[in-house]
Amino acid sequence: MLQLDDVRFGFKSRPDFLGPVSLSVCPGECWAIVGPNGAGKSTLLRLMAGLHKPRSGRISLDGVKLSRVGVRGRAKRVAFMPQATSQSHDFNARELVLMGRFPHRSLGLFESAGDVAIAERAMTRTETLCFADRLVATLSGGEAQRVHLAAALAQEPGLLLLDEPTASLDLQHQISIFSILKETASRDDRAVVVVTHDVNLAANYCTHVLLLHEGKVVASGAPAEVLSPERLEPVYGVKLAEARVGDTEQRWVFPVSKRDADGGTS
Amino acid sequence: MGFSRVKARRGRGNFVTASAANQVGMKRYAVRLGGALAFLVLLLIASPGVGTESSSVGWWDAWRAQLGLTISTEQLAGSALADLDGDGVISGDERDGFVVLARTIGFSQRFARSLLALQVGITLALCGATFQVLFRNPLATPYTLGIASGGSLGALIALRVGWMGVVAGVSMMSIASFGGAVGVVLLVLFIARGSRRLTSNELLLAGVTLGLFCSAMMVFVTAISNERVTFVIVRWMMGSLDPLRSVEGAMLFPMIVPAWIVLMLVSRSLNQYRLGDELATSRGVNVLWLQLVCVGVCSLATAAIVAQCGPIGFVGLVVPHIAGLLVGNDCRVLLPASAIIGGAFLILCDWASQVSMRVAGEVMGRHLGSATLPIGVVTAIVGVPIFLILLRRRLGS
Repeated sequence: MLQLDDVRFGFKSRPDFLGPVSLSVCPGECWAIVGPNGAGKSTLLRLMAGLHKPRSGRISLDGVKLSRVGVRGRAKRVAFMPQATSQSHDFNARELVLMGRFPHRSLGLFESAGDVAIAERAMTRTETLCFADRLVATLSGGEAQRVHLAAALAQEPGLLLLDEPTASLDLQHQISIFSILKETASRDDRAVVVVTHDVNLAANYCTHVLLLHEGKVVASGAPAEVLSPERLEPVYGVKLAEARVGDTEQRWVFPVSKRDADGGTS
Repeated sequence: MGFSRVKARRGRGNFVTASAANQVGMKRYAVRLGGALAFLVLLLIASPGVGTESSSVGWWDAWRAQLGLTISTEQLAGSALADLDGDGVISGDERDGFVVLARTIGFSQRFARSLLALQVGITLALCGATFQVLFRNPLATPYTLGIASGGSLGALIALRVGWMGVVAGVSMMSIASFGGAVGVVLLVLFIARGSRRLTSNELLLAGVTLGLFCSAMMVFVTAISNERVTFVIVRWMMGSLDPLRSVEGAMLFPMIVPAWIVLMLVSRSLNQYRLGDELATSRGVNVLWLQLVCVGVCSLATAAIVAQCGPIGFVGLVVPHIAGLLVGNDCRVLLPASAIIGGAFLILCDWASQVSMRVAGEVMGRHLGSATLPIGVVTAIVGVPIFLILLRRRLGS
């Protein structure tokens, strides 16, 4: 379980950039962090990954302070998938996924048969096995993203952190990535935190949502409560419409127009 | 099993066939690595037979002499080298003399020279491959951080000031060169130390700038030197693989072998590093520490080589690219492949440097000034076309 208590963080130029944030992410939960550009979503995710140290407050992993866990121990339990994945695409898909096993091996240069089996399970899960021997550079954006997701799954983390995994992907790949995340949380009983811009995907696939605005938590909880037009409109500064599709309970949110300062439509 | 392998190679296997494909991939690299290693061993076996002297000490004569196998007088019949008194008959004494000669020329000179070329080639290629990964720059070499320039400047100052003595069996020039190279590295690291995040581009720029400064200072020292010193300076700058005295060899070895071991040990982390700082950190790699360790061991190893052999360029630049074409970019395979190819490359270049002057002298019908072409000239003549072809390919694709 990942626990954030009154976490604050800032950069030199903006010392009060983020916080206070309090949050607890438990196994089986799939959290979406939503909010406008510059709201601090990625920064919060990096804090959870241990890539930044909080200025104040406490982040703990299963009751132990995250900075005390140790790099290798943290890597065995927390996987992080950055937004701009991979500067180097010289590896083929299988090699890239096998590299996700890195934190679990202490001796020996090469992966064991067990590592290979785990990597292949992750690739089956993400439907990437069919191009396992192709260079990642030759894959389409959606395929490459699924390979990176497979690498994160092969790391077998208790907590999976993803920064905009569906940015610039087409509809089919967006759905496929989010359904894998949902399955990972519900079936494997792992915790997932995903930063996304798509409030409808978050509403459909995630169990919890955290809405950030200018570094502050506006709301957190069940998607239906957090992602209502009344909550979202002031945050995003747009007029939203809401609709039900078919006979499901699920509500969908659409941007309609720019929102005036007084709250009316222009 | 055969069927599943075929299927797996086409890349549409299930669990079992896919893991078979992984094995096949590993084995393919193992075959290529083994092939390169076998080639290297062949070069070493042949090395006692290749040299500047057009004497008739063949590699087999040298090996027989070295291993204590008997060489009969009949086998030496007709050998002008063994027939000292020129009577056309090889006596027992003449045979014994030949054995000593074969051992001296074949092993003390030629084999020792090839062994040095091997060590230097392995080290420069390994460090080159590491630097290219570390700086995420295909043009980075062990000399990029100004190591060679610093070493050269140190040696030049020693020459100019006249520190020509020998301390504990090691020439003052070597010590000064080593000091200059290490000084530059420490300065670069000191500059980079300020920021908690050691960004590679800044380190690279600092190194290049210091290298340029050292080059300018070298010109300055040369300009204020007399003709004799200038000549020595120029010779040293050409690089040389003349066999080391045992004391110098003993100094070189502890500087470079730890680098080999450390680089192989961090090869897995280097793979992660190539995926980007953030991903590597999240996977448990201490990026800052990795950069410091790699720069540290590579710099010390390169400094030791520059101190002994002068700057030898292009090995560290070209060899990793050739290795990459052969075995791909997995550092765990790329680094040993670079090492093997680097060793073989420098042995071959050294042979070319020796044989070419002899052949050129014979063609022109007179003795040319130096017995060997400077090794740096050969590595450039061989390395530059290879590198340009590789660049051209890269632009084409």
